Amino acid sequence: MKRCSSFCILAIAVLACAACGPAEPIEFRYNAVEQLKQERLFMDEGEHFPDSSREEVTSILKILFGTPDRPQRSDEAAAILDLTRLNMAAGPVESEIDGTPHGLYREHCAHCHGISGDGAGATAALLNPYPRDFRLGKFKFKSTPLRTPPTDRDLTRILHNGIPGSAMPSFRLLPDEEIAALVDYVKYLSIRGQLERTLLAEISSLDGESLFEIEQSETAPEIDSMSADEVPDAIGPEFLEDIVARWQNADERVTAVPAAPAGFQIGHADHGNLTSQGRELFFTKGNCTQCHGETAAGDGSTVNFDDWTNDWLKTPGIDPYDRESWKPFMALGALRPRPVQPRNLNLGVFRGGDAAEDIYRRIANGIEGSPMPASAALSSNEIWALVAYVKSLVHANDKFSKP
Amino acid sequence: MATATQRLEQALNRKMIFGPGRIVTRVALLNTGSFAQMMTADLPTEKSFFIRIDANRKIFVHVLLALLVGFALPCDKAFPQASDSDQPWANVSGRILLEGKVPEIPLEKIDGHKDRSICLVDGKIPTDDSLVVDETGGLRDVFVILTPLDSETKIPVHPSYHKAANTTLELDNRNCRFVPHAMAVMTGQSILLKNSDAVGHNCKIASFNNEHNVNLPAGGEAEIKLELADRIPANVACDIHPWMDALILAKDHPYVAITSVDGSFQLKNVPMGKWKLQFWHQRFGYLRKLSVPGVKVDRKGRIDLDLADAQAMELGSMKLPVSAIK
Amino acid sequence: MNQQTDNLPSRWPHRLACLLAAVVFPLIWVGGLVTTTDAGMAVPDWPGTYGYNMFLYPIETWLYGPFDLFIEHGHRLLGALAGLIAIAMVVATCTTERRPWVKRLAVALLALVIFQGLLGGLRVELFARWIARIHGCVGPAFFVAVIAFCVATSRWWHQQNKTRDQTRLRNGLIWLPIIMLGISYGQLVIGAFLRHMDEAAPPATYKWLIVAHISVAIFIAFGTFMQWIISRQKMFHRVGIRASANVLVLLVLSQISLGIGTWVVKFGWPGWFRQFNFAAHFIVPEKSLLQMNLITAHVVVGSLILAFWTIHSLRCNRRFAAVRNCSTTDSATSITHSDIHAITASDA
Repeated sequence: MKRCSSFCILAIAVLACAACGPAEPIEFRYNAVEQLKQERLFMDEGEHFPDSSREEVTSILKILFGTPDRPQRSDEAAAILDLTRLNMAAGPVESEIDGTPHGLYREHCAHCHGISGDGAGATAALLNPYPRDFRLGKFKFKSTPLRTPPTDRDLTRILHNGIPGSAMPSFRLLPDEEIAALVDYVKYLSIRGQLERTLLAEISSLDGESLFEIEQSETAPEIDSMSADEVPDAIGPEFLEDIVARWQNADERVTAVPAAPAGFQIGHADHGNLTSQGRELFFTKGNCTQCHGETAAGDGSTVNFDDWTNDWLKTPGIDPYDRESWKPFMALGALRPRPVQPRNLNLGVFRGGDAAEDIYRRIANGIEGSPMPASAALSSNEIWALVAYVKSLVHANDKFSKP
Repeated sequence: MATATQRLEQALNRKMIFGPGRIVTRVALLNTGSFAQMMTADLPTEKSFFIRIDANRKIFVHVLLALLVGFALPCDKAFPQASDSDQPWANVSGRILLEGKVPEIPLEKIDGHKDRSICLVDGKIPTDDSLVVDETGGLRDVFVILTPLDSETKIPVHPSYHKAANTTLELDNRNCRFVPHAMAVMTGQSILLKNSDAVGHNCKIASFNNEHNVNLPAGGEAEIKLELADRIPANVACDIHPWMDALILAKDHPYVAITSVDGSFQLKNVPMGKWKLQFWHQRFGYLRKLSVPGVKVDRKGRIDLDLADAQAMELGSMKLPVSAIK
Repeated sequence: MNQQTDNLPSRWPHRLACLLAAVVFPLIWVGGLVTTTDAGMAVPDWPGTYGYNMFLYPIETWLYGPFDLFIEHGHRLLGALAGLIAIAMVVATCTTERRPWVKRLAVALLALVIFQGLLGGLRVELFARWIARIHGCVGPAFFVAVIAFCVATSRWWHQQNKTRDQTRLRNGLIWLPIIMLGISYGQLVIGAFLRHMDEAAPPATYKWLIVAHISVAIFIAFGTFMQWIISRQKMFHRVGIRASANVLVLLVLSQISLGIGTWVVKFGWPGWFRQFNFAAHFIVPEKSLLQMNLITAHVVVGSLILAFWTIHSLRCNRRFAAVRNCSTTDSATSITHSDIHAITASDA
């Protein structure tokens, strides 16, 4: 009997061995969802990109960006990406004798954000909100306006503070240089993902032709033998340059926050008249109740999807409520479409930071990727009044009555 | 030394534009001079060049490149320029008719929404406007886009458009609908977003190259620009009223027509030469199933357009089977 | 009674096995910490530590060096200690034990501990996550085997020769504990997969593993409760199975709480809590003491549950199972219902 059970246990262990098996070497995951979207948008039903396109894009990205274990940085990106930091963040998890770590991204980030930064890591399906997909280059909580990437400071802040109410942890226990390494790696993945999308869009505009300019006399160039300097010229340097230029100049596009008007007291809930003015604006010119609701509990309007979902859902005209129509996308790695909810402001939780100027920027710039729009018609004082009202909501008793 | 902002602007000016073929880049439209400069400059070889070269695309490209290198660059004029006197212009017109049984147009999904009463048009729930067909079969809101044979080519622009490029276009929110449903703008042209409703909207414009998300409170308005050209129209949406949609196509030239309610369109003052004309509709994508008398439509919904001497080119009635709806 | 005691084998195998269990338990704990803190690759070579013989590695560098090195090297030293004790145990068993299957079990234990050590080394040398997974599964299996050995060499075990009781034979006490032991081990394997998830794994895999982990947890909780109810019956008063059943209920309840806690300190509160203030304000504290200890405790309690199911099922079987004619005809004597009360009373 005893022998029997110990044999059983051994057998289970052996079975476990067999089940795990050695994994394949880790590679960046190809953006097959984007390819399918492009095919749906621009090709006949049943038509696909030739296989060579996928190989071409993969090769180009490999030369310019390397692999998850050995990152590369082309000269174009030298100004914004530090290779030492990238090496610290890339690769498998290990550390040197003096404690210098490697593989920080895989240690802290990859299980949610995925090896390629596609926001579809192992745990992604169970998290709400989904982990961010870096490949669109869109980030919610930042000091810059729409279509401008976040600054290093913005990313550092999110890593440091975490995002309350989400699975994004605070990494404040990590040393500064490790956070800096992760910030660079996030930018690296983002730029890589943006270039991948751009190349795929370009391929679809070329009807599946090669991305390389092939002269009449030449045959297709040997991509794999090219160096990182030659590839951008061969495909057109503007692809990468434009993406990098945006990141490079993010610092100068930070939205200035003008001084708060008299009566606004940072750190206090009571802003006097400003709060009542803000309440007025909340219901009228601020247009806030349409989504956040009259009680500001986030119950104002119908549900909607964010840009990361809409990118493949809405652009090619997929019905979000027809499961069959988005199944092919899910098979390629897209996550099940999930509506976003307007924030309940009464909780006093602000994911992008609860400092007055953070909320100011949220109202002034909107939140990239979400339905939250940028205020076009509000003066800075009016925005400050809204900030005052929003900050007061967590304390207010009379917030449920309409003015 | 250029500041970083200047570098960004340069980068944006060089920003890729997804044309039918290769990316159009580094054409210093915004860098080197204004429209006016472009319009008045003289490059007389263009006309004969366009007419003589036949369909061989490879030779075409090589000659064109030689031209660009040989003529344009030394004069610091990077693309073909047009002149009123030398360049005859033609009007291109036609009509797109839907063939077959038009499917029943559903009502907008307004029921149950808190703003229902405001969103009714004349007291009734409006029908979906992604497919608007009149009783003769005329299909509204087809984008008719003039495209060059290859992306290195810039389309010369008739002076009459100079003024048009500086006018402000209006996109209204009325009864929870975007009015108009489809519009074309030039890159950098101002668009006034208006809200005539008593409820708030937001106006989210998203395409590959452009993005805006503007808050429009009741009665509010805001002005925006689309800085970069797109390949297909951008989606315009309101997150508060999910049934609302519109289309805006930004191009770096004014030759985009949108079919009117009877399906007819007209492109005015198109420069002479060989071009392609591309047809796109929200529900059909590229109109590859369009039948144009005597002309072949390719899989990207394009036909060859050879404007030689004629002052007007009438493409006539073009038929599109209903079955091509995506 | 004395006469019986004289016939019993030496107590040394049992003592050494208990010592081994006492070392293996913290070893699993430290091993859990190695994974939680991602310290596994802090020392890149094996069996040496940075070129030193493992036992000669300077003690100051170990104690005052980086934390991950401290953990990883400590794990290795503790593992080596377990191996040495296992050798001593085998020697003691082979010289004093009469039952051949116990001897074989002792040798198997030694083989398993060597295998486990090699796996740990291979994981480092080959840099392979899949080996880490096996290493994580074999650890608790070894622990279970050691516990089984402890039970089999205990005084209690020998005493049952006198008091085996088949009058109350029932499947609830024979098969349920064994099934639960198997399922608990399966649960642990799922847990090891969750912990050593391949970074490139698709979201669906993880999702289904979590679903499986939760379903099995519910099943185990139910089974443990059933077992507890059975053991509460009056007729099982003082037969040595109530205590383990009580402990199991406590362990399973705390394990479920720890499991929920693990999720929360790793991924925050699930979506349906978002409207509550505490959940909305909660920020996941990555690599904090709270997070690391909670997660490691979940791993460790898992092994503990396994250990108690081992004890429980061995005891139930020893006490109540039908006697197999092959091994125990010589000593086992069936007794009647009334006898057992006399014996248990005299025990007390």
